[in-house]
Amino acid sequence: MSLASEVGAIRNSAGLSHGSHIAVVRVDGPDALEFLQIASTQSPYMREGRVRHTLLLREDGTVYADAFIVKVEEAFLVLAEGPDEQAVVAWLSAFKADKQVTIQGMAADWITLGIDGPYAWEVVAGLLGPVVLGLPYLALLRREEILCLRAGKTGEYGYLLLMPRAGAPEALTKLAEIGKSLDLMTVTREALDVCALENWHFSMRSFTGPLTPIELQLQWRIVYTREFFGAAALRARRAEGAKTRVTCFTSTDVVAVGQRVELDGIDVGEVLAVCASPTLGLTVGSALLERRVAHPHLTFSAGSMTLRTCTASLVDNRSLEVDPHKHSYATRGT
Amino acid sequence: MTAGAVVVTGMGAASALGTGVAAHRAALWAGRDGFRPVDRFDTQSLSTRLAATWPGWDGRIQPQPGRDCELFESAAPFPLHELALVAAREAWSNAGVTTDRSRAALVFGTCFGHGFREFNAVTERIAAGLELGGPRVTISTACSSSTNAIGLGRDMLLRGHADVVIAGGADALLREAFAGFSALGVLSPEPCAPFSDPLGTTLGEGAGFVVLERAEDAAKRNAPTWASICGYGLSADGFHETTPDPSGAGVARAIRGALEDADWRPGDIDFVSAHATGTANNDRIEWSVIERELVLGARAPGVSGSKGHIGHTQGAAGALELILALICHHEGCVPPTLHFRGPRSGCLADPIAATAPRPMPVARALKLSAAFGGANAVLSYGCGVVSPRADRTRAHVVVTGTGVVGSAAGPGEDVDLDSLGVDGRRLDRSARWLTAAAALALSKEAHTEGMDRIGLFVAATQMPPESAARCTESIRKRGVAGTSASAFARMSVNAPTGACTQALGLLGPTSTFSIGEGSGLLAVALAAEWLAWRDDATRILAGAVDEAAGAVCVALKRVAAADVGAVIVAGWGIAGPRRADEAIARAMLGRSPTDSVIIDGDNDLWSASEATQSCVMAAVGAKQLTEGRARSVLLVAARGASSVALVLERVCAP
Amino acid sequence: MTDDIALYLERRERALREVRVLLASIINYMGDPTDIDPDAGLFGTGLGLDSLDAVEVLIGLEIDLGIKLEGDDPRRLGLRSVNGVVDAVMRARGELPS
Repeated sequence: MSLASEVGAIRNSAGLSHGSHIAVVRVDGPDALEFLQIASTQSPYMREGRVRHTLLLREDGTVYADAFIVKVEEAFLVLAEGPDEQAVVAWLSAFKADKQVTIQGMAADWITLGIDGPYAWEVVAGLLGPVVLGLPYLALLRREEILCLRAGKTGEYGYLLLMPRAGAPEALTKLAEIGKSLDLMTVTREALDVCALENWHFSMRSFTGPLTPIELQLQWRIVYTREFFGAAALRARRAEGAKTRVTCFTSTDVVAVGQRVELDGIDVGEVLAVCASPTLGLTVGSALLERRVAHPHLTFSAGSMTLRTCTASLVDNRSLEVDPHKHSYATRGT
Repeated sequence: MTAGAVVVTGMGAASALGTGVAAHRAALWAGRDGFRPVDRFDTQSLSTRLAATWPGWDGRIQPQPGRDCELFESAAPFPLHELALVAAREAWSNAGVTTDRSRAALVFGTCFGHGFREFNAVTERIAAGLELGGPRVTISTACSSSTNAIGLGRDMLLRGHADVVIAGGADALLREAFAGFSALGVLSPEPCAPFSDPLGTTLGEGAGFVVLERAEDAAKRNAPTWASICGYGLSADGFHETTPDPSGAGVARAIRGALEDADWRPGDIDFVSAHATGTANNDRIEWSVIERELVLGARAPGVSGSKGHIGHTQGAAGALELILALICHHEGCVPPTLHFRGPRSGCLADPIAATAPRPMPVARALKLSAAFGGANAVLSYGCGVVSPRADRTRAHVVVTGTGVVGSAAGPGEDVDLDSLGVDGRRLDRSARWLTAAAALALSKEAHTEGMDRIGLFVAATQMPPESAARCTESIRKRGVAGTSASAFARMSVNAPTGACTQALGLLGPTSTFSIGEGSGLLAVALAAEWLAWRDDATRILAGAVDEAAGAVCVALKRVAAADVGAVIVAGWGIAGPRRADEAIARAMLGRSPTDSVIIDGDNDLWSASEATQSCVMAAVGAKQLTEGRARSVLLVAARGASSVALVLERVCAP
Repeated sequence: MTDDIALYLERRERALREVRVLLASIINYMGDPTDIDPDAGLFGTGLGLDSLDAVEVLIGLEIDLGIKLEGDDPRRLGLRSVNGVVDAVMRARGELPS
């Protein structure tokens, strides 16, 4: 399958992905909550049923991992993107000090599946029942052995399903069956990354380099009065005033990562990420620009190429028009 | 030994179907609903004109709010207590109670009170109208208020706080509430069709009351009975202000609590009167829970919803819908779901879809209610001979922590929830106060136990002023059509309670109530009573909140045996207004005099308020004991709608 | 930098300030409004506004900033991020380059 057709499935019907790029780590024990308060930029919810979108920072305030945290029974699960599972376990273990917590990777026993698209809910409802239809964004549902998080990063309805490895073949068979009439297509991580960039969702794979949430425009995941790992550095950075900010751009040219960006002949930044967007038929990317010019609707040059910054969420997602309570894939467009 | 049964000996109803139980019976068999276009205020700019208004209202047009009107000054179409008294008087006379009214209690549930502003005052007027001398309690848990009220009424009889109880609720259709629900997008353009189409609810108004007595008292006077109230369950969704928890776990917990309280099994249930608002989320989630919890293979209870008849009567919904069911059960039937045009996806195929009651024998049944703020309440009731459960052993209740924030704790502008590890975004000031006090009171080990076994009982005498002001401001600036949906959702009396359950994940039993002065001490007494006699919660935080003053929480825990040095809630008593003597006598029963006494209103040590003052007393009393300044302390609050006394003791080595 | 661009940036910063204050009041934001990033999402992700807040954004624009938009779903009006709201404000003021 071509990348374009995979992206097309995510934009028009639904895409099934294998979440092997997501590290799932279980944090358990009497001090688990206290431990995660320090490990993560956001305090985890104290109740099951809600998902917190947070960050794990390095001591210098730069982003180490993009993570969801959920409470399941009396333990917490950290679903992290960026480093692999072993690295996340080691990273968390490094500063557990005398806290009573156990930190354990789940990959040996569990698998993660992603389902994204305007009709992803219909696929998941087929597996778990109509209760999925009312699941809000960043909420968690447990159905027997399967955990379902509504937590997409593509701008469409998106779900992560976590299940024991033993039960996976049966679930996959069932999903394939359900997916037939819904044009469910298996999609790669690359397709998810393209969709994330098109919709300006943060992805660890698109934004490499030592950047803090201030440059990355992820301050909504920060509470500056909290004490968490990396908070001191972040506060210092904020106090001195950040110089740059990532900004979304499009181009009709082919632009490369690392290219310098100029405004009126003055160097103001560099290209951080790009992709050819099948949805828009344009190059979509992100540039790290000097803060004073890091605004949409300006024209920059990168070598002989032209970039135009724009307001994020370029895609007019079909999911905005689809209401799980009223619509279905079978009657789309009618 | 049995806990004794509590029976319904009288019922009274007023709703869009008419005034009186007989009018409701007639409408049920005639297949008539109570929907009509609203004529008392302008609905032009709102999403529907339809409502289920009480025909007893004389049809006057409501005054328009002035540009600078006080908070919802012109909101109430008529005095709420008048509507309530119509139904309460009927219930009282239907019961034919002849006993002395000095130990007759009132438990009154209301969502918006009289014009959003008077809650406890309405309760006082109803009690005065009926000349009741016993305790009076106002429950305000939004749309589950009267269900909770009937459950509490039963407990008050079982625990001896009263000899007869009249319990129920009332709410009027208020223009601003209509606009608020319209802004939330939950009103149906057509008559409410639970479990069917179209989606959405229709607002109603009305009052419903039942008279409750101990079975032996009713038997002594040969009083006919409508049903037995066998138990109830309360729970918090802790999910969202207006959206129910999609997993339905909260409703399921309340169902299990009600079953457990009655000592019934899931397969015992013959009928469920569902909350069935008609909205997409409620009906689907509620049905999925009923299916999961109560349908056992071929053994499935009949399920129906009454909002197709009377609309969503807000705080009165639980009581009125119970009354409609009991009218039908009395004649061997169950109430139908009106306006059913075929099943909705994800809902049941036949919610007694009919225009008249359907014959069906009912011995054991449930009344389900769910509310904004995530407050779920479920009643278990029985028809005919239903043996009550064996009484449980009374557990010990210990004080495990206290939290005081705001002016009661000392000077301080606001509270830093972040330092407590709590996400305080999107909370109004009342919710922040309460959440901070609760977080301080809740000990660390609580988080490693089941959070679904930690409850929250809150004394609150008014709507949270900040959110209410935002809502008023939105109406003043933009007209009723511009009512702020988010401020509306956060301004119910129980909204801070709901926000606190959400922030801290307290998913056990929850309630919000008041008696005016002394409310905070009542919260501690009711929480202690719940823990002492039930085992569906391990801990309950008993608190009080008042935006102008702050918040207080006392954490209580149920234990089999209290350790030496622990502070226990040794006794408590609840009695009528200005009946401190009776409350103290009940609290002190079999105990030697305490070394310390704290009386509400005796000093101004704490610059607290009506709601919080007496709860601060409990926190101070507990501190005296833990610091060894006293071995026992008696707390008394007798300036409100009920008198409350509570004894705290430090456990000494034998 | 040309004068045109300088003027645009000045107006953009001003509109951004106004929008940040508006959004901060809608979500009871306790921090400094300048920490609200211009490309932060409004609904679900980002600032986490829910359907209850959606109407508040439209009404806030109308009441506080005097900008009336036709329609009732902010997301379909392009108001999906802070910058989306800033665009709407600047467009209404005729400050957005074509």
